[in-house]
Amino acid sequence: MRKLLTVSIVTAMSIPVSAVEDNDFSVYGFVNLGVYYKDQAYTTIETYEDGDPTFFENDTMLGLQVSKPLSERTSATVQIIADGENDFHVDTSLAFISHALNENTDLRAGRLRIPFFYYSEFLDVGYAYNWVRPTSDVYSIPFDDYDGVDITHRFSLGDSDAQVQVNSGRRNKDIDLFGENYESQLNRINGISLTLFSGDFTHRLGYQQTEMNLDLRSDPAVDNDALAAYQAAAAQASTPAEASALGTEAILATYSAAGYRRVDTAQAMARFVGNGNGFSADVIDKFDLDKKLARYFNVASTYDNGDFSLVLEATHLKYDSGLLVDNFAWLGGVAQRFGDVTLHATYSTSRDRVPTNSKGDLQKLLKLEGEDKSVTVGIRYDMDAATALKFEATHHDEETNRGVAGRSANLYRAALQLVF
Amino acid sequence: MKLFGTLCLLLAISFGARAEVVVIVSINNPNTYTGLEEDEIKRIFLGKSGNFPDGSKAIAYDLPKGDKARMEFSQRYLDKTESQLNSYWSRRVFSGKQQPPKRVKDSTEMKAKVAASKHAVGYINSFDVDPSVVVIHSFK
Repeated sequence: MRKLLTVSIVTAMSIPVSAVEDNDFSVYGFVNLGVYYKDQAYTTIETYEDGDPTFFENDTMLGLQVSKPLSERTSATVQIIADGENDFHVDTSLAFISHALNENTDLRAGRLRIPFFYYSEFLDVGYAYNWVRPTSDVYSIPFDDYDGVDITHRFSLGDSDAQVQVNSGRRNKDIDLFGENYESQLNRINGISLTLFSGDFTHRLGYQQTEMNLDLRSDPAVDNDALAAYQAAAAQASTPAEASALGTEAILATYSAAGYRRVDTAQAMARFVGNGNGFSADVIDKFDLDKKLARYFNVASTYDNGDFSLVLEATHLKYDSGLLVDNFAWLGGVAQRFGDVTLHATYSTSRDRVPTNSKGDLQKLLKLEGEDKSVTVGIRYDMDAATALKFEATHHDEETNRGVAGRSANLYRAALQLVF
Repeated sequence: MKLFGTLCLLLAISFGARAEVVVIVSINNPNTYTGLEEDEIKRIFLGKSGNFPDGSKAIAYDLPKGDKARMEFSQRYLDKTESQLNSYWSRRVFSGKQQPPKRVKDSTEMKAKVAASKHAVGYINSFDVDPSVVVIHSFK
Protein backbone atom coordinates (compact mmCIF):
# COMPACT_ATOMS: atom_id res chain seq x y z
CA MET A 1 0.00 0.00 0.00
CA ARG A 2 2.75 2.33 0.99
CA LYS A 3 4.66 1.52 -2.14
CA LEU A 4 1.57 2.11 -4.25
CA LEU A 5 1.13 5.48 -2.58
CA THR A 6 4.73 6.39 -3.34
CA VAL A 7 4.24 5.40 -6.95
CA SER A 8 1.12 7.51 -7.29
CA ILE A 9 2.81 10.51 -5.68
CA VAL A 10 5.72 10.17 -8.05
CA THR A 11 3.29 9.88 -10.96
CA ALA A 12 1.29 12.85 -9.79
CA MET A 13 4.44 14.93 -9.46
CA SER A 14 5.72 13.96 -12.84
CA ILE A 15 2.53 14.98 -14.66
CA PRO A 16 2.98 18.75 -14.52
CA VAL A 17 6.59 18.42 -15.58
CA SER A 18 5.77 16.41 -18.68
CA ALA A 19 2.76 18.57 -19.49
CA VAL A 20 4.88 21.71 -19.59
CA GLU A 21 7.20 19.86 -21.98
CA ASP A 22 9.89 22.38 -22.86
CA ASN A 23 10.01 24.50 -19.79
CA ASP A 24 12.45 27.06 -21.12
CA PHE A 25 12.54 30.69 -22.07
CA SER A 26 11.18 31.65 -25.47
CA VAL A 27 12.90 34.66 -26.98
CA TYR A 28 11.44 36.61 -29.89
CA GLY A 29 12.46 39.91 -31.39
CA PHE A 30 11.84 42.41 -34.12
CA VAL A 31 13.90 45.11 -35.78
CA ASN A 32 12.75 48.11 -37.81
CA LEU A 33 15.34 50.31 -39.51
CA GLY A 34 13.90 53.38 -41.19
CA VAL A 35 15.02 56.20 -43.45
CA TYR A 36 12.80 59.09 -44.51
CA TYR A 37 12.70 62.31 -46.44
CA LYS A 38 9.94 64.91 -46.12
CA ASP A 39 9.86 67.60 -48.77
CA GLN A 40 7.92 70.45 -47.12
CA ALA A 41 8.27 72.24 -43.81
CA TYR A 42 4.78 73.68 -43.30
CA THR A 43 2.85 70.45 -43.03
CA THR A 44 2.91 68.27 -39.95
CA ILE A 45 3.17 64.50 -40.43
CA GLU A 46 3.71 63.00 -37.00
CA THR A 47 7.26 63.96 -35.98
CA TYR A 48 8.85 63.68 -39.43
CA GLU A 49 11.04 66.70 -40.18
CA ASP A 50 11.82 68.28 -43.52
CA GLY A 51 15.36 68.78 -44.77
CA ASP A 52 17.99 66.16 -45.45
CA PRO A 53 17.08 62.48 -45.39
CA THR A 54 17.04 61.21 -41.83
CA PHE A 55 18.43 57.81 -40.92
CA PHE A 56 17.42 55.54 -38.06
CA GLU A 57 15.24 57.88 -36.01
CA ASN A 58 11.59 57.54 -37.02
CA ASP A 59 10.42 54.01 -37.87
CA THR A 60 13.49 52.64 -36.14
CA MET A 61 13.02 50.27 -33.28
CA LEU A 62 14.44 47.17 -31.68
CA GLY A 63 12.11 44.93 -29.72
CA LEU A 64 12.86 41.92 -27.58
CA GLN A 65 10.30 39.65 -25.99
CA VAL A 66 10.91 36.90 -23.48
CA SER A 67 8.30 34.43 -22.26
CA LYS A 68 8.70 31.81 -19.58
CA PRO A 69 6.15 29.18 -18.60
CA LEU A 70 5.66 29.22 -14.83
CA SER A 71 3.28 26.28 -14.71
CA GLU A 72 1.13 24.41 -17.16
CA ARG A 73 -1.40 27.25 -17.22
CA THR A 74 0.65 30.29 -16.30
CA SER A 75 3.41 32.17 -18.04
CA ALA A 76 5.27 35.46 -17.74
CA THR A 77 6.11 37.75 -20.66
CA VAL A 78 8.24 40.88 -20.92
CA GLN A 79 8.67 42.96 -24.06
CA ILE A 80 11.14 45.82 -24.19
CA ILE A 81 11.56 48.30 -27.02
CA ALA A 82 14.44 50.65 -27.85
CA ASP A 83 13.02 53.43 -30.01
CA GLY A 84 15.27 55.41 -32.37
CA GLU A 85 12.96 58.39 -32.05
CA ASN A 86 13.59 58.34 -28.31
CA ASP A 87 17.40 58.05 -28.53
CA PHE A 88 17.04 54.25 -28.18
CA HIS A 89 15.98 54.52 -24.56
CA VAL A 90 14.54 51.21 -23.49
CA ASP A 91 10.85 51.19 -22.62
CA THR A 92 8.84 48.29 -21.25
CA SER A 93 5.93 47.85 -23.64
CA LEU A 94 4.60 44.58 -22.19
CA ALA A 95 5.13 42.99 -18.78
CA PHE A 96 2.43 40.58 -17.72
CA ILE A 97 1.50 37.27 -16.22
CA SER A 98 -0.88 35.23 -18.34
CA HIS A 99 -3.07 32.55 -16.83
CA ALA A 100 -5.31 30.16 -18.76
CA LEU A 101 -8.63 30.11 -16.87
CA ASN A 102 -9.66 27.30 -19.18
CA GLU A 103 -8.71 26.04 -22.59
CA ASN A 104 -10.33 29.01 -24.35
CA THR A 105 -9.99 31.81 -21.84
CA ASP A 106 -6.84 33.68 -20.86
CA LEU A 107 -6.42 36.24 -18.12
CA ARG A 108 -3.51 38.65 -18.31
CA ALA A 109 -2.39 41.11 -15.65
CA GLY A 110 0.37 43.72 -15.79
CA ARG A 111 1.46 46.17 -18.44
CA LEU A 112 -0.56 45.67 -21.62
CA ARG A 113 -1.43 47.53 -24.80
CA ILE A 114 -4.76 49.26 -25.23
CA PRO A 115 -6.47 47.48 -28.16
CA PHE A 116 -7.76 50.68 -29.77
CA PHE A 117 -7.29 49.63 -33.37
CA TYR A 118 -6.99 46.57 -35.57
CA TYR A 119 -3.17 46.76 -35.61
CA SER A 120 -2.75 48.23 -32.09
CA GLU A 121 -1.42 45.22 -30.25
CA PHE A 122 1.40 44.64 -32.74
CA LEU A 123 1.75 48.21 -34.02
CA ASP A 124 5.52 48.33 -33.57
CA VAL A 125 6.15 45.11 -35.49
CA GLY A 126 6.50 46.46 -39.02
CA TYR A 127 7.12 42.98 -40.40
CA ALA A 128 3.56 41.99 -39.51
CA TYR A 129 1.93 44.24 -42.14
CA ASN A 130 2.66 45.80 -45.55
CA TRP A 131 3.06 49.47 -44.60
CA VAL A 132 6.16 50.90 -42.94
CA ARG A 133 3.64 51.91 -40.26
CA PRO A 134 -0.15 52.38 -40.30
CA THR A 135 -1.19 55.93 -41.23
CA SER A 136 -1.34 58.49 -38.42
CA ASP A 137 -4.58 59.85 -39.92
CA VAL A 138 -6.27 56.92 -38.17
CA TYR A 139 -3.59 55.68 -35.76
CA SER A 140 -3.48 59.04 -34.01
CA ILE A 141 -3.86 58.32 -30.30
CA PRO A 142 -0.70 59.50 -28.51
CA PHE A 143 -0.54 56.70 -25.92
CA ASP A 144 -0.84 52.96 -26.22
CA ASP A 145 -0.01 51.16 -22.99
CA TYR A 146 -1.78 50.74 -19.67
CA ASP A 147 -1.42 48.80 -16.45
CA GLY A 148 -4.31 46.50 -15.72
CA VAL A 149 -5.96 43.26 -16.69
CA ASP A 150 -7.63 41.76 -19.71
CA ILE A 151 -9.55 38.60 -20.43
CA THR A 152 -9.59 37.02 -23.87
CA HIS A 153 -12.15 34.35 -24.64
CA ARG A 154 -12.07 32.38 -27.89
CA PHE A 155 -15.14 30.60 -29.22
CA SER A 156 -16.69 29.19 -32.38
CA LEU A 157 -19.53 30.86 -34.19
CA GLY A 158 -20.82 28.50 -36.85
CA ASP A 159 -17.86 27.86 -39.13
CA SER A 160 -15.99 30.91 -37.85
CA ASP A 161 -13.62 31.50 -34.96
CA ALA A 162 -14.36 34.44 -32.74
CA GLN A 163 -12.71 36.20 -29.87
CA VAL A 164 -13.90 38.65 -27.25
CA GLN A 165 -11.44 40.69 -25.21
CA VAL A 166 -12.34 42.82 -22.19
CA ASN A 167 -9.77 45.13 -20.64
CA SER A 168 -9.56 47.40 -17.63
CA GLY A 169 -6.82 49.46 -16.04
CA ARG A 170 -5.12 52.81 -15.75
CA ARG A 171 -2.10 54.68 -17.04
CA ASN A 172 0.04 56.99 -14.95
CA LYS A 173 2.71 58.19 -17.35
CA ASP A 174 3.65 61.24 -19.38
CA ILE A 175 2.01 61.83 -22.75
CA ASP A 176 3.72 63.43 -25.72
CA LEU A 177 1.45 65.82 -27.66
CA PHE A 178 2.70 67.85 -30.65
CA GLY A 179 6.26 67.07 -29.56
CA GLU A 180 5.72 68.37 -26.01
CA ASN A 181 5.55 66.45 -22.79
CA TYR A 182 2.59 66.44 -20.37
CA GLU A 183 2.24 64.76 -17.01
CA SER A 184 -0.94 62.75 -17.21
CA GLN A 185 -3.15 60.23 -15.52
CA LEU A 186 -5.63 58.13 -17.45
CA ASN A 187 -8.04 56.49 -15.07
CA ARG A 188 -10.70 53.88 -15.66
CA ILE A 189 -9.44 52.69 -19.01
CA ASN A 190 -12.18 50.19 -19.89
CA GLY A 191 -12.93 48.53 -23.15
CA ILE A 192 -14.17 45.59 -25.12
CA SER A 193 -13.29 44.26 -28.55
CA LEU A 194 -14.84 41.53 -30.64
CA THR A 195 -13.05 39.83 -33.50
CA LEU A 196 -14.56 37.39 -35.98
CA PHE A 197 -12.31 35.26 -38.19
CA SER A 198 -14.41 33.95 -41.07
CA GLY A 199 -12.50 32.28 -43.90
CA ASP A 200 -10.47 34.99 -45.62
CA PHE A 201 -12.33 37.72 -43.74
CA THR A 202 -11.58 39.21 -40.33
CA HIS A 203 -13.98 41.68 -38.74
CA ARG A 204 -13.37 43.67 -35.60
CA LEU A 205 -15.46 45.93 -33.39
CA GLY A 206 -13.83 47.84 -30.55
CA TYR A 207 -14.74 50.30 -27.84
CA GLN A 208 -12.52 51.98 -25.25
CA GLN A 209 -13.05 54.76 -22.79
CA THR A 210 -10.92 56.56 -20.26
CA GLU A 211 -11.06 59.48 -17.87
CA MET A 212 -8.30 61.84 -18.93
CA ASN A 213 -6.25 64.02 -16.61
CA LEU A 214 -3.51 66.20 -18.04
CA ASP A 215 -1.45 68.39 -15.77
CA LEU A 216 -1.86 71.73 -17.59
CA ARG A 217 -0.09 74.92 -16.67
CA SER A 218 -2.29 77.79 -15.58
CA ASP A 219 -1.00 81.01 -13.96
CA PRO A 220 -3.18 84.10 -13.27
CA ALA A 221 -0.11 86.36 -13.40
CA VAL A 222 0.63 85.24 -16.98
CA ASP A 223 -3.08 85.69 -17.83
CA ASN A 224 -2.82 89.31 -16.61
CA ASP A 225 0.32 89.88 -18.68
CA ALA A 226 -1.48 88.43 -21.70
CA LEU A 227 -4.45 90.73 -21.19
CA ALA A 228 -2.16 93.75 -20.90
CA ALA A 229 -0.29 92.67 -24.05
CA TYR A 230 -3.63 92.32 -25.87
CA GLN A 231 -4.78 95.78 -24.86
CA ALA A 232 -1.45 97.37 -25.79
CA ALA A 233 -1.44 95.68 -29.21
CA ALA A 234 -5.11 96.43 -29.90
CA ALA A 235 -4.56 100.11 -29.10
CA GLN A 236 -2.12 100.30 -32.06
CA ALA A 237 -4.72 99.00 -34.52
CA SER A 238 -6.93 101.14 -36.77
CA THR A 239 -9.75 98.64 -37.38
CA PRO A 240 -11.46 96.11 -35.04
CA ALA A 241 -10.30 93.23 -37.24
CA GLU A 242 -6.72 94.42 -37.01
CA ALA A 243 -7.08 94.89 -33.28
CA SER A 244 -8.25 91.30 -32.89
CA ALA A 245 -5.42 89.93 -35.06
CA LEU A 246 -2.66 91.95 -33.38
CA GLY A 247 -4.14 91.29 -29.96
CA THR A 248 -4.26 87.52 -30.49
CA GLU A 249 -0.68 87.55 -31.71
CA ALA A 250 0.39 89.46 -28.59
CA ILE A 251 -1.42 86.98 -26.30
CA LEU A 252 0.14 83.97 -27.98
CA ALA A 253 3.58 85.58 -27.77
CA THR A 254 3.08 86.20 -24.04
CA TYR A 255 2.09 82.58 -23.31
CA SER A 256 4.88 81.26 -25.48
CA ALA A 257 7.41 83.46 -23.66
CA ALA A 258 6.08 82.15 -20.35
CA GLY A 259 6.83 78.59 -21.52
CA TYR A 260 3.23 77.51 -22.12
CA ARG A 261 2.88 74.40 -24.23
CA ARG A 262 0.29 74.09 -26.99
CA VAL A 263 -2.44 72.61 -24.78
CA ASP A 264 -1.68 75.02 -21.87
CA THR A 265 -2.12 77.88 -24.32
CA ALA A 266 -5.34 76.43 -25.73
CA GLN A 267 -6.76 76.20 -22.21
CA ALA A 268 -5.78 79.80 -21.42
CA MET A 269 -7.11 81.02 -24.76
CA ALA A 270 -10.41 79.23 -24.17
CA ARG A 271 -10.94 81.28 -21.02
CA PHE A 272 -9.84 84.46 -22.71
CA VAL A 273 -11.85 84.05 -25.90
CA GLY A 274 -14.79 82.46 -24.05
CA ASN A 275 -15.11 85.32 -21.58
CA GLY A 276 -14.58 87.92 -24.32
CA ASN A 277 -17.42 86.44 -26.39
CA GLY A 278 -19.95 85.94 -23.60
CA PHE A 279 -19.73 82.13 -23.27
CA SER A 280 -21.10 80.78 -20.00
CA ALA A 281 -18.78 79.49 -17.28
CA ASP A 282 -20.23 75.99 -17.86
CA VAL A 283 -18.95 75.97 -21.42
CA ILE A 284 -15.57 77.50 -20.60
CA ASP A 285 -15.04 74.95 -17.80
CA LYS A 286 -15.21 72.15 -20.37
CA PHE A 287 -11.97 73.43 -21.86
CA ASP A 288 -9.66 71.67 -19.47
CA LEU A 289 -8.38 68.14 -19.02
CA ASP A 290 -9.43 67.40 -15.49
CA LYS A 291 -11.40 64.14 -15.25
CA LYS A 292 -12.67 64.41 -18.80
CA LEU A 293 -14.09 61.31 -20.43
CA ALA A 294 -12.78 60.22 -23.81
CA ARG A 295 -14.46 57.50 -25.89
CA TYR A 296 -13.06 55.55 -28.83
CA PHE A 297 -15.08 53.52 -31.32
CA ASN A 298 -13.43 51.31 -33.90
CA VAL A 299 -14.65 49.07 -36.69
CA ALA A 300 -12.43 47.18 -39.12
CA SER A 301 -12.77 44.56 -41.82
CA THR A 302 -10.02 42.82 -43.69
CA TYR A 303 -9.98 40.32 -46.52
CA ASP A 304 -6.87 38.33 -47.37
CA ASN A 305 -6.79 35.39 -49.77
CA GLY A 306 -3.01 35.15 -49.66
CA ASP A 307 -2.43 37.10 -52.88
CA PHE A 308 -4.92 39.92 -52.70
CA SER A 309 -5.84 41.76 -49.54
CA LEU A 310 -8.11 44.57 -48.54
CA VAL A 311 -8.37 46.51 -45.30
CA LEU A 312 -11.03 48.98 -44.20
CA GLU A 313 -10.89 50.63 -40.81
CA ALA A 314 -12.89 53.48 -39.32
CA THR A 315 -12.61 55.13 -35.97
CA HIS A 316 -14.55 57.75 -34.06
CA LEU A 317 -13.13 59.66 -31.10
CA LYS A 318 -15.45 61.52 -28.78
CA TYR A 319 -14.20 63.87 -26.06
CA ASP A 320 -15.95 65.58 -23.18
CA SER A 321 -13.14 68.10 -23.01
CA GLY A 322 -13.39 71.07 -25.35
CA LEU A 323 -9.61 71.07 -25.81
CA LEU A 324 -9.81 67.94 -27.92
CA VAL A 325 -12.09 67.93 -30.95
CA ASP A 326 -14.32 64.95 -31.81
CA ASN A 327 -12.87 63.13 -34.77
CA PHE A 328 -13.88 60.68 -37.46
CA ALA A 329 -11.15 58.92 -39.42
CA TRP A 330 -10.94 56.00 -41.79
CA LEU A 331 -8.57 54.20 -44.10
CA GLY A 332 -9.03 51.90 -47.07
CA GLY A 333 -6.17 49.91 -48.51
CA VAL A 334 -5.55 47.24 -51.13
CA ALA A 335 -2.52 45.05 -51.70
CA GLN A 336 -1.58 42.56 -54.38
CA ARG A 337 1.22 40.04 -54.00
CA PHE A 338 3.41 38.92 -56.91
CA GLY A 339 5.64 36.23 -55.42
CA ASP A 340 8.07 37.98 -53.05
CA VAL A 341 6.85 41.42 -54.02
CA THR A 342 3.69 43.07 -52.70
CA LEU A 343 2.32 46.34 -54.06
CA HIS A 344 -0.09 48.34 -51.95
CA ALA A 345 -2.10 51.56 -51.99
CA THR A 346 -4.04 53.24 -49.19
CA TYR A 347 -6.31 56.23 -48.84
CA SER A 348 -6.86 57.69 -45.39
CA THR A 349 -8.57 60.71 -43.96
CA SER A 350 -9.09 62.34 -40.58
CA ARG A 351 -11.93 64.82 -40.01
CA ASP A 352 -12.41 66.79 -36.83
CA ARG A 353 -16.11 67.19 -36.09
CA VAL A 354 -17.01 70.32 -34.16
CA PRO A 355 -20.38 69.75 -32.45
CA THR A 356 -23.24 72.15 -33.13
CA ASN A 357 -23.49 73.57 -29.63
CA SER A 358 -21.78 76.32 -27.68
CA LYS A 359 -18.79 74.07 -26.93
CA GLY A 360 -18.37 73.65 -30.69
CA ASP A 361 -18.80 77.37 -31.28
CA LEU A 362 -15.95 78.10 -28.90
CA GLN A 363 -13.82 75.36 -30.50
CA LYS A 364 -14.35 77.09 -33.84
CA LEU A 365 -13.34 80.47 -32.44
CA LEU A 366 -10.20 78.86 -31.01
CA LYS A 367 -9.43 77.33 -34.41
CA LEU A 368 -8.86 73.88 -32.97
CA GLU A 369 -10.12 71.76 -35.82
CA GLY A 370 -8.10 70.03 -38.49
CA GLU A 371 -8.81 67.93 -41.57
CA ASP A 372 -6.27 65.71 -43.25
CA LYS A 373 -6.15 63.22 -46.06
CA SER A 374 -3.35 61.04 -47.38
CA VAL A 375 -2.59 58.72 -50.23
CA THR A 376 0.11 56.13 -49.66
CA VAL A 377 1.62 53.78 -52.21
CA GLY A 378 4.33 51.29 -51.43
CA ILE A 379 6.15 48.12 -52.16
CA ARG A 380 7.13 45.31 -49.84
CA TYR A 381 9.84 42.91 -50.86
CA ASP A 382 10.24 39.75 -48.80
CA MET A 383 14.00 39.28 -48.91
CA ASP A 384 13.89 36.02 -46.99
CA ALA A 385 11.49 34.14 -44.75
CA ALA A 386 11.60 36.77 -41.99
CA THR A 387 12.98 39.99 -43.50
CA ALA A 388 11.08 42.59 -45.50
CA LEU A 389 12.37 45.62 -47.36
CA LYS A 390 9.82 48.39 -47.91
CA PHE A 391 9.60 51.56 -49.92
CA GLU A 392 6.71 53.92 -49.44
CA ALA A 393 5.56 57.34 -50.62
CA THR A 394 2.81 59.32 -48.88
CA HIS A 395 1.15 62.46 -50.15
CA HIS A 396 -0.31 64.14 -47.10
CA ASP A 397 -2.78 66.96 -47.59
CA GLU A 398 -3.54 69.15 -44.60
CA GLU A 399 -6.85 70.54 -45.84
CA THR A 400 -7.51 72.39 -42.61
CA ASN A 401 -4.92 73.04 -39.94
CA ARG A 402 -5.92 74.85 -36.75
CA GLY A 403 -9.09 76.11 -38.39
CA VAL A 404 -7.47 77.56 -41.52
CA ALA A 405 -6.48 76.13 -44.92
CA GLY A 406 -3.30 74.07 -44.70
CA ARG A 407 -0.75 72.76 -47.18
CA SER A 408 0.50 69.45 -48.41
CA ALA A 409 3.76 67.51 -48.25
CA ASN A 410 5.27 64.29 -49.50
CA LEU A 411 6.93 61.79 -47.24
CA TYR A 412 9.23 59.13 -48.66
CA ARG A 413 10.23 56.21 -46.49
CA ALA A 414 12.40 53.12 -46.77
CA ALA A 415 12.55 50.47 -44.09
CA LEU A 416 14.13 47.14 -43.36
CA GLN A 417 11.94 45.15 -41.00
CA LEU A 418 12.51 41.70 -39.61
CA VAL A 419 11.43 39.30 -36.90
CA PHE A 420 13.45 36.63 -35.17
CA MET B 1 8.96 6.48 -79.44
CA LYS B 2 11.28 4.41 -77.34
CA LEU B 3 13.03 7.57 -76.28
CA PHE B 4 9.68 9.06 -75.31
CA GLY B 5 8.91 5.98 -73.23
CA THR B 6 12.23 6.22 -71.43
CA LEU B 7 11.65 9.89 -70.81
CA CYS B 8 8.24 9.16 -69.29
CA LEU B 9 9.72 6.49 -67.09
CA LEU B 10 12.49 8.81 -65.96
CA LEU B 11 9.96 11.50 -65.19
CA ALA B 12 7.82 9.02 -63.30
CA ILE B 13 10.81 7.94 -61.25
CA SER B 14 11.89 11.46 -60.47
CA PHE B 15 8.34 12.39 -59.45
CA GLY B 16 7.95 9.26 -57.39
CA ALA B 17 11.22 9.95 -55.67
CA ARG B 18 10.51 13.61 -55.04
CA ALA B 19 10.88 14.54 -51.41
CA GLU B 20 7.55 15.22 -49.83
CA VAL B 21 6.71 16.66 -46.47
CA VAL B 22 4.69 14.35 -44.20
CA VAL B 23 3.04 14.89 -40.84
CA ILE B 24 4.24 12.65 -38.01
CA VAL B 25 3.10 11.68 -34.52
CA SER B 26 4.33 9.32 -31.83
CA ILE B 27 3.66 5.59 -32.20
CA ASN B 28 1.70 5.91 -28.93
CA ASN B 29 -0.67 8.54 -30.30
CA PRO B 30 -4.20 7.02 -30.33
CA ASN B 31 -5.21 9.20 -33.27
CA THR B 32 -3.15 7.03 -35.60
CA TYR B 33 -6.25 4.77 -35.85
CA THR B 34 -8.47 7.50 -37.21
CA GLY B 35 -5.91 9.71 -38.91
CA LEU B 36 -5.76 13.48 -39.03
CA GLU B 37 -7.52 15.64 -41.60
CA GLU B 38 -5.66 18.35 -43.46
CA ASP B 39 -7.85 21.01 -41.86
CA GLU B 40 -7.17 19.66 -38.36
CA ILE B 41 -3.43 19.84 -39.03
CA LYS B 42 -3.84 23.40 -40.26
CA ARG B 43 -5.78 24.44 -37.15
CA ILE B 44 -3.23 22.87 -34.80
CA PHE B 45 -0.23 24.44 -36.55
CA LEU B 46 -1.89 27.87 -36.76
CA GLY B 47 -2.70 27.77 -33.06
CA LYS B 48 -6.47 27.70 -33.62
CA SER B 49 -6.83 24.34 -31.95
CA GLY B 50 -4.84 22.77 -29.16
CA ASN B 51 -6.32 19.30 -29.44
CA PHE B 52 -6.27 16.17 -31.55
CA PRO B 53 -9.66 14.90 -32.85
CA ASP B 54 -9.94 12.58 -29.83
CA GLY B 55 -9.73 15.59 -27.51
CA SER B 56 -6.23 14.95 -26.21
CA LYS B 57 -3.78 17.82 -26.07
CA ALA B 58 -1.73 18.51 -29.22
CA ILE B 59 1.69 20.15 -29.11
CA ALA B 60 3.06 21.19 -32.49
CA TYR B 61 6.75 21.31 -33.39
CA ASP B 62 8.23 23.45 -36.11
CA LEU B 63 11.46 23.32 -38.13
CA PRO B 64 13.64 26.46 -38.31
CA LYS B 65 12.80 29.43 -40.53
CA GLY B 66 14.12 28.94 -44.05
CA ASP B 67 14.17 25.11 -43.83
CA LYS B 68 13.03 23.55 -47.14
CA ALA B 69 10.60 21.16 -45.44
CA ARG B 70 9.11 24.07 -43.48
CA MET B 71 8.60 26.02 -46.69
CA GLU B 72 6.80 23.08 -48.28
CA PHE B 73 4.75 22.34 -45.17
CA SER B 74 3.69 25.97 -44.96
CA GLN B 75 2.59 26.02 -48.61
CA ARG B 76 0.86 22.64 -48.74
CA TYR B 77 -0.74 22.39 -45.32
CA LEU B 78 -1.11 25.98 -44.13
CA ASP B 79 -1.75 27.63 -47.49
CA LYS B 80 0.81 30.35 -46.75
CA THR B 81 4.22 31.38 -48.00
CA GLU B 82 6.82 31.23 -45.26
CA SER B 83 6.81 35.03 -45.08
CA GLN B 84 3.04 35.01 -44.60
CA LEU B 85 3.38 32.37 -41.91
CA ASN B 86 6.02 34.42 -40.07
CA SER B 87 3.87 37.51 -40.39
CA TYR B 88 0.86 35.56 -39.06
CA TRP B 89 2.80 34.44 -36.00
CA SER B 90 4.49 37.76 -35.36
CA ARG B 91 1.04 39.35 -34.93
CA ARG B 92 0.09 36.77 -32.33
CA VAL B 93 3.43 36.55 -30.55
CA PHE B 94 4.16 40.25 -30.17
CA SER B 95 0.62 41.06 -29.06
CA GLY B 96 1.48 38.69 -26.21
CA LYS B 97 -1.46 36.42 -26.91
CA GLN B 98 -0.04 33.21 -28.29
CA GLN B 99 3.12 31.25 -28.72
CA PRO B 100 4.02 29.68 -32.06
CA PRO B 101 4.77 25.95 -32.33
CA LYS B 102 7.91 24.95 -30.48
CA ARG B 103 11.04 25.18 -32.58
CA VAL B 104 13.37 22.21 -33.13
CA LYS B 105 16.72 22.53 -34.87
CA ASP B 106 16.43 19.77 -37.49
CA SER B 107 14.55 16.61 -38.54
CA THR B 108 16.52 14.45 -36.08
CA GLU B 109 15.40 16.56 -33.14
CA MET B 110 11.90 16.70 -34.64
CA LYS B 111 11.68 12.89 -34.64
CA ALA B 112 13.08 12.68 -31.12
CA LYS B 113 10.53 15.20 -29.79
CA VAL B 114 7.62 13.57 -31.59
CA ALA B 115 8.63 10.03 -30.61
CA ALA B 116 8.91 11.06 -26.96
CA SER B 117 5.33 12.30 -26.44
CA LYS B 118 1.92 11.15 -27.56
CA HIS B 119 0.89 14.83 -27.49
CA ALA B 120 3.47 15.85 -30.08
CA VAL B 121 2.87 16.44 -33.77
CA GLY B 122 5.46 17.50 -36.32
CA TYR B 123 6.43 17.24 -39.95
CA ILE B 124 9.52 16.05 -41.81
CA ASN B 125 10.71 15.17 -45.25
CA SER B 126 9.37 11.71 -46.20
CA PHE B 127 12.98 10.54 -46.74
CA ASP B 128 13.68 11.10 -43.05
CA VAL B 129 10.83 8.91 -41.79
CA ASP B 130 11.95 5.98 -39.63
CA PRO B 131 10.14 3.50 -37.33
CA SER B 132 10.42 5.81 -34.28
CA VAL B 133 7.47 7.85 -35.59
CA VAL B 134 4.21 7.31 -37.48
CA VAL B 135 3.15 9.20 -40.59
CA ILE B 136 -0.37 10.38 -39.82
CA HIS B 137 -0.88 12.39 -43.00
CA SER B 138 0.77 12.64 -46.39
CA PHE B 139 -0.33 13.75 -49.83
CA LYS B 140 0.84 10.51 -51.46
